[in-house]
Amino acid sequence: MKELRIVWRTLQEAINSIRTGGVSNLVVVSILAVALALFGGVLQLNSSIKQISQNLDTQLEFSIYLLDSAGPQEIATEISKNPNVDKVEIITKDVAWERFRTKFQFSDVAGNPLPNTVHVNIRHPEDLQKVIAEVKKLPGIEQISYAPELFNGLERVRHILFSFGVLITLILAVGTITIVSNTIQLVIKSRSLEIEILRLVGVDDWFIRGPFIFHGIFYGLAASLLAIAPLFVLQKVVWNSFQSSFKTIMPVTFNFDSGADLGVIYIILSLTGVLVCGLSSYFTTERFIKT
Amino acid sequence: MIKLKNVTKQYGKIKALDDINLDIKSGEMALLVGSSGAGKSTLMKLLYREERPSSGNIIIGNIDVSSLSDAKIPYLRRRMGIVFQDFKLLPNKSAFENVAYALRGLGAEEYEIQKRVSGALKLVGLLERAFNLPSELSGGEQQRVGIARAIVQGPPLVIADEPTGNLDPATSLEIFNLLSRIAERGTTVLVSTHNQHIVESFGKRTITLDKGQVVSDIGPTTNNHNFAQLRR
Repeated sequence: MKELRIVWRTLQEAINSIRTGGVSNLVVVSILAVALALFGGVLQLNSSIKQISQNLDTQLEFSIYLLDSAGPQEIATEISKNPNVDKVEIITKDVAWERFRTKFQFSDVAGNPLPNTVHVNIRHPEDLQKVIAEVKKLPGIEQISYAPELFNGLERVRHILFSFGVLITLILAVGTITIVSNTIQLVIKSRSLEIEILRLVGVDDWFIRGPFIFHGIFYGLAASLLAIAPLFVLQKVVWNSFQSSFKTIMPVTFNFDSGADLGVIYIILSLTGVLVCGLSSYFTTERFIKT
Repeated sequence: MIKLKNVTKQYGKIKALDDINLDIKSGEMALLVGSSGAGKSTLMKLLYREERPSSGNIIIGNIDVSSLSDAKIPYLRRRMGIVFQDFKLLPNKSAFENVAYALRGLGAEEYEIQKRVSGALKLVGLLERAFNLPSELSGGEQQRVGIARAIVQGPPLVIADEPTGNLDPATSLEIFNLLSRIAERGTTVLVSTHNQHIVESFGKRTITLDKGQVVSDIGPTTNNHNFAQLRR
């Protein structure tokens, strides 16, 4: 009971300390929120691209673009004889062009540049390369587009983006720790008399340091909540509208939805904010409040 | 209550205290006198473990202060009340809240805080001014709040470091009287002062320090009658 009372009073002291901070709290939380939003953005982008590329890696589908001289029906019949092929679908150049024009509200001025296309679904992903090699032998094939090619490209982009993002985040993390540490130092200095009195009357170390640590945790929590809001909007509005446009021009179909990871990313972001700010306050109080 | 055995405190080559031996019994009131730089404040700081002795032993009650770990300092300080020359009151808290502040940090229950703080303020004669801010109190009243805070936990020892350094002679006398009354209730009281005039009139055990050494240790006398002369 006594310990609970002390924890409750430590929290009350922290609330008072935050209240007296006024506008400086807003400044600190805003700067931290920018750093966390960037970190969250990196995580979110990485997760989205990863999900797409993983989706591509397990694709059972590839597309064949035909020369205008080739008959799509003959080629489709030939391919469907292969026992590893599950399904073959023909998208004629007229259908593809109509879909494209409807989606992008494109006026028909220069004629139809799109080729006849055959979408092929295979039974097992490991047979993909074998089936493609056989298809390549057929006459009238202009180009074959398949997901793993795209997967490798996307993975390279993801690695570069992630490494760059982590580097920027680390630099910002150092800045964040410095800002929190300096702010807590200022709060400690402004309350030096209280701290001295509490030390001299024999109050436990953690009651003295607790309010400052809670203060730091509050910064982390508030900043991460502030950072999550724009990230959520970015994901739900910008990314979703981008992916719906992207789907129509991709040679293969797959599911873009990365919504399942968002919760995890936001939890990671909040925990990072709380941990970085809490630990930063902890070490600052250890350094500046002598027992 | 307080035992110092061959205590020396050295800062570089300077000896602030040099081979001090003292024994102050429970319930006793002793005055520590000496000019500036004699070592009074250093001795006080050693007692509440703000500083460690360079050599020797300090025993308070049954606690060996000289070998006390940092983690155990709060336990020592809960067994003593400390009064300061500059009062050390929080300017934005009332007299009541100043006295209650430490108790809250120690996890005392609200009803216990009310009871103890009211009792301490009553003892120092400030119950009526409990809800005044320090800025609304005179210097003497502020120091009485400081004393109330020192005794609110009912410690067996009160240490007062130059408690009248910022006060006029009449108010100083009031503070000494108050500390004397606290000692009469069974609390050991050690007061450092450079106010020789009050010391001579007070008739309590007087330990004189000079250049870090005890140069005299005179037992209580019966010249309390000089109080009346001082008042005049």
